[in-house]
Amino acid sequence: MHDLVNRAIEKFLQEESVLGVEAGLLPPSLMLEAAAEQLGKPTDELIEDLGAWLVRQDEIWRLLRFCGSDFLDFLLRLDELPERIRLITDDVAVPEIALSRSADGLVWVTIPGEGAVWTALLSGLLRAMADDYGTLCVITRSAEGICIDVSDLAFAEARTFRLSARASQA
Amino acid sequence: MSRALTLGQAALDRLMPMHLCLAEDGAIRFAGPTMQKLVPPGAQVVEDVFVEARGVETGCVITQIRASEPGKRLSLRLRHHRQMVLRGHVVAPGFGGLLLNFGFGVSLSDAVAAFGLTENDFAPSELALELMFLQEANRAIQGELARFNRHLMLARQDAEREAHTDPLTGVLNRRGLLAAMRGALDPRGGQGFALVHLDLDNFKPVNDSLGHAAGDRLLRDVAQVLGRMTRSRDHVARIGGDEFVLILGGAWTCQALTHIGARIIRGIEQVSPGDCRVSASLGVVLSAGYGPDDIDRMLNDADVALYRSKRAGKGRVSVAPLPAAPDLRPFPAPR
Repeated sequence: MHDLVNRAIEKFLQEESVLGVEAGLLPPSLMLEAAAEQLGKPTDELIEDLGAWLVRQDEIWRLLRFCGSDFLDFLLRLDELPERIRLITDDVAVPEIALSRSADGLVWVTIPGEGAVWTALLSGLLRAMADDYGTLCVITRSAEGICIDVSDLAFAEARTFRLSARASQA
Repeated sequence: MSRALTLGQAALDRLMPMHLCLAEDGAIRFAGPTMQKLVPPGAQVVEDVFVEARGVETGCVITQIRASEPGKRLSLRLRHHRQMVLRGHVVAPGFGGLLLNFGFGVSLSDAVAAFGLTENDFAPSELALELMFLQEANRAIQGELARFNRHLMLARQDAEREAHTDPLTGVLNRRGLLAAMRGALDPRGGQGFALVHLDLDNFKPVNDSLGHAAGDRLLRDVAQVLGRMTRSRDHVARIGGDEFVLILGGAWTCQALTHIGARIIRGIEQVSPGDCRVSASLGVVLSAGYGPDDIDRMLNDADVALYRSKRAGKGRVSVAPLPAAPDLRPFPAPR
């Protein structure tokens, strides 16, 4: 499973035209740091791009769309994500995700006790998923976590998702 | 204590979208919204929807439904989608007739594809979406792993090839030669071969007077000459310094071997750099009489034949006619 994670990052970096970063040589975090330096952008921004890139991978995109019928549903069930990943494999350590909703309707996503890496990854992923569902929202990342202000759930047409992969090919 | 429940049809639809309500004779009274997608248009009785899942079709599904014990699983096959078996159970509702509820079981993904089902076709309590999620996740991971395995296999093939190749000349190395000999001596192959041990004459002066780069170039040229003079099913190996070994498949006469040896010597003399007068001495053994365990002995016998050529004045071919006979006859290379 670690090889899969490494390979995903390697593929992402190839598409970002980062040269000479080969999976297996460095652990993921160092691989990303080296790449960010090469691209001249902050590491957390690159990790955010990685989160958005994951959504663009067809197989991962389908798995994510299984997790919610619309963006708000997806967002409010985001805390299921670690459990879902554990359904598939138990050798990837995914931290717990905490959700809270303030009185003014803002949704807060926090990852207690974890570094900025997961927060950056999730905020990139959330941005891309909001886009995918056609939802208009403002996503702000800070040291405390990610704040999502959903203003229009059906702002644009959502990308068509069919439960059966076979049906969507037809 | 039991409670008589009064449940509106809308509530029943939401709780069990896959329910089917029948009269005692099997006539369809009503069906849940997802079940309606499975019922063919114009269906009047349960037999229009289902056939038996197992055994002979009696055309009388209702008998099986009525005979089904409470709490026992009932399996029925869709009449128009025979690969799909639905599983469910039947109860007797207070309003009479039979109330059945179904699930797709392992036919789930087939059903979702065939009927274009969506999330809304399943009750929130069902695990349908989770099952499909798992199935797709599994397939994706398996695809990745298969890619990995292919990658590893190719890498292993490369490594094996490299382990059998002399990096300087691209021909086999000693390990590659031993593998090729093992294959050639396999009694199941059975067509015989000649083993040629070849040592360059006057190679050292090339290194000494023209440098190691020139020596390396000469070794590459010699390998090329040997490659040119052999067929694709033959093997060429360099087993150290300026020593080469050829495996020439087929049955050979002494004369033919002497002839081909002479051509090889001429070819090598033609690539000799400067005025170094590089030539080659050859010792040949035929495979007859050697078995799979005789690789060392065979190499040794070829070496003895080669030594004989060297002693007889270099630039020659010596053929050991039979492994048992130590009678070696050096032939001068015809010029």
